[in-house]
Amino acid sequence: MIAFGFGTLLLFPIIDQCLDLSAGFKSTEKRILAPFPTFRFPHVKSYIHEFDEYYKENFGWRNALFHVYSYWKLVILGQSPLPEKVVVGKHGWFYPGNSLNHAVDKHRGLLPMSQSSMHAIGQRLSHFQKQLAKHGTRLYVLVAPDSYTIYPENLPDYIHENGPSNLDLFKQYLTRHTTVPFIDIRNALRMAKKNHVVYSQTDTHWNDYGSLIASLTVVDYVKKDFPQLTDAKLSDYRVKATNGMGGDLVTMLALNKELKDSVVYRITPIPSLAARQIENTPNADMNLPSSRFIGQKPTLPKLLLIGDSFSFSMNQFIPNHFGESYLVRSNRFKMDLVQNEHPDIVVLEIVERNIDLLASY
Amino acid sequence: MLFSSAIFLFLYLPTFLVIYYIIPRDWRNAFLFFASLFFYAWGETLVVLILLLSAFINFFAGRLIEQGQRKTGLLLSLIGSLSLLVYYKYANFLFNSLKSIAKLLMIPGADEINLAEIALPIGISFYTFQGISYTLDIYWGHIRANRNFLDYGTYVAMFPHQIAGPIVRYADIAPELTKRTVTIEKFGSGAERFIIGLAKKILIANTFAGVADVIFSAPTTSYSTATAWLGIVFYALQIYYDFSGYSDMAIGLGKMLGFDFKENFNYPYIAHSVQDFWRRWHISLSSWFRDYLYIPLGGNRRSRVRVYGNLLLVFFITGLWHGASWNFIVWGLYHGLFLLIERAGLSKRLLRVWPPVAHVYTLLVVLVGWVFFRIDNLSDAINYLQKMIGVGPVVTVEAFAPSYFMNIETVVILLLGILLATPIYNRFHQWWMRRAPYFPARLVSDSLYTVGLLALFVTTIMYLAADTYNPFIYFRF
Repeated sequence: MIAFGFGTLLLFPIIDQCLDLSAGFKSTEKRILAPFPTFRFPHVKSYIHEFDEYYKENFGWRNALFHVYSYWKLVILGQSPLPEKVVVGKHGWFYPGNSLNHAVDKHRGLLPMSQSSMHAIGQRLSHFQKQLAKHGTRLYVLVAPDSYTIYPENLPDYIHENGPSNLDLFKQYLTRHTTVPFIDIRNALRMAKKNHVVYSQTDTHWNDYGSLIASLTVVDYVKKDFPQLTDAKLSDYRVKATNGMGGDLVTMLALNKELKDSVVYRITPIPSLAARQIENTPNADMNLPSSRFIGQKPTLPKLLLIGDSFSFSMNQFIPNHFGESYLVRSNRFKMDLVQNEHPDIVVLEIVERNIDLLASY
Repeated sequence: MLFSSAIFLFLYLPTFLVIYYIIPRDWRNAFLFFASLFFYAWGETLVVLILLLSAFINFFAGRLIEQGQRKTGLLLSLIGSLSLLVYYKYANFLFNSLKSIAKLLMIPGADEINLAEIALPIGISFYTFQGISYTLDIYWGHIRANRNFLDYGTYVAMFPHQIAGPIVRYADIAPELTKRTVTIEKFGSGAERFIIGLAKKILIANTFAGVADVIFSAPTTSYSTATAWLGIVFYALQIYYDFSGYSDMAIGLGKMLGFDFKENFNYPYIAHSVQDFWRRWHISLSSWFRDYLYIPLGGNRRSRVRVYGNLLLVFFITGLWHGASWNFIVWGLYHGLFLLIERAGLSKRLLRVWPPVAHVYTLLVVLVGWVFFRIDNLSDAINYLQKMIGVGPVVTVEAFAPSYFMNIETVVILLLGILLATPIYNRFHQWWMRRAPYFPARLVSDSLYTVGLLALFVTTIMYLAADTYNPFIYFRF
């Protein structure tokens, strides 16, 4: 019986490759798996290597086996199936793992930002600020907090903060040593979470409600320098709660059908506020398109927002408060973009765990 | 190709087994030989020629010895096999050591001479020793030389045992090389052994490795003494399950092909002395050194000083055999030193003390020894040992408290790991066989065991699949 069972199990993957019995289990890796290699004489070694890669990523039942593994690790053992990618928190919360720029180690205070790194970033941002000032443009820096910072109570017990966060150190440095305005939205998000969930439980990003709060806080902050801007009022938006979906973190675990956010929000501005999208340009930088909007009052100041994926959901809210807005997803400051666009305001947005990347922005 | 890789398990092995059983018996050795060469060539391409060269030297040497040119044959085998081993495994180490000495002595130009990195052929330590044991056994008249290179080549190249052992002696499998039978029961027992070995490697050893790797790569200022002990205990279990898992897989594969390889491990962590540990750990290597080095050097029959010298020499070479670096030499000599102390009288005292005391002593010696085995830089190894005795650098931020590593899985695997490193389960199994000799009870327990074993195999390949899964948060095309 063992001999028969063992032999059958050994043959299953080959049978599956021929008959595609496990077609129902799709890869959630968000990458192209290694293709079947072509032999180019006399490169035997590279062919073997390519075939190894191909087979490792394409053997029969692989996706199904990973799915069961993921379920087993998470639901039965209560652990992350991919601890480097996803941290499993409490009460259905998931957090990005160390593979996303050492998010865990940074939160644990194991990788504090060095003075030299902050100095380099400070110098770079001051340089951008001066360059922009020549064109009459003001620069603002916005850091989107990690979910760790806003929802530390749902982290697993082995992860806790030690000492000031990198965001605290960075803010302190920027305010003490530069004149670059820093928009701190942490308090606004912490206040807002008392009424609604502001981050996605199964995704690395804030949800639409968190994004709305962030957008309104930015407008509020910038309005100090541009008083003509529309007031940022929460009451101008209609918030409707609905059933949640599985986010990017649980998609990596191939469990996005089983694990979902408890709630998502459909948020719409009052009609007199809604901006109109006039351009959507594919963008190779982050696979998220750049978008241009015209507000209800085109005479209001023009905004250029250069940001990461956190800024994407701000498309729905922030353009409502400006004359024109161009929202670009990038991890680089592009002076030529500024020269072409002639914005009044430039907001650089970056997620907390990536602050150190500003040194090479 | 590793036994624990998808390509081996789901492509190479089933294809190999199907062809092996379909072809006529007389062709099986030839098929096994060429399939084994393909197995090595898959990972190493032309380096497989070293294996063939070594096999050819020893085959030819064996023939010479049998034809009466005894010394010539033996010298050819020793010089031929060992020179390949020394060149491929130790040339870089020897060169770098000599270069360091020359630099220390400030010999002009020492800094400018360099030697290109030489690729280490997989299994060279094993097939070298197997070749030498073959010619020595012929030289001593224990066996007859093989007249068929294909048969001898099959013995040397055979993929089940060649990557990580055990060291299989020709004398032990000579009858099976010419005539072997595989029954469905024997195939089943081979499959059982293979599944257990694979599970040991993937489920147990890899879990321990995950913890040990984090601790050993972290700065000593980031964890306490307790974590340092946890690290070395996990490493000790990792290396045992990893290595014994490979031996189990080799023994299992051997059975599936009709061969009976000898056991390589016998619960080494229950040893009550270092001497006992070496009787239980990597048995094929210890017995090889005993039979082909220690006894020819005079064994226990010489003067006390000579015996001690021989012991240290054997353990110096044992260390060096495991790897071409100083930490392995220190590890080998460290074990040799304790064997020497035990021989000088400690072993008699150990027999008189309360058994747990002897056991704790042995474990302590072995655990400390593993530090040198795991850490290739001697000063880092000493730092780690200092941490273990609580005199290491002060902890600045305790990033890795023992609790950091403890979750349901590691705790269960740790308990299982400790339990299965002892003969408790084995004894229970024997007890059960005596208790339930009658058909219904045995049928139920055997069926449950089979289902459990196959479930274990599926679980293991589930972990293997997970290891290949590398998702990204954003699309990466």
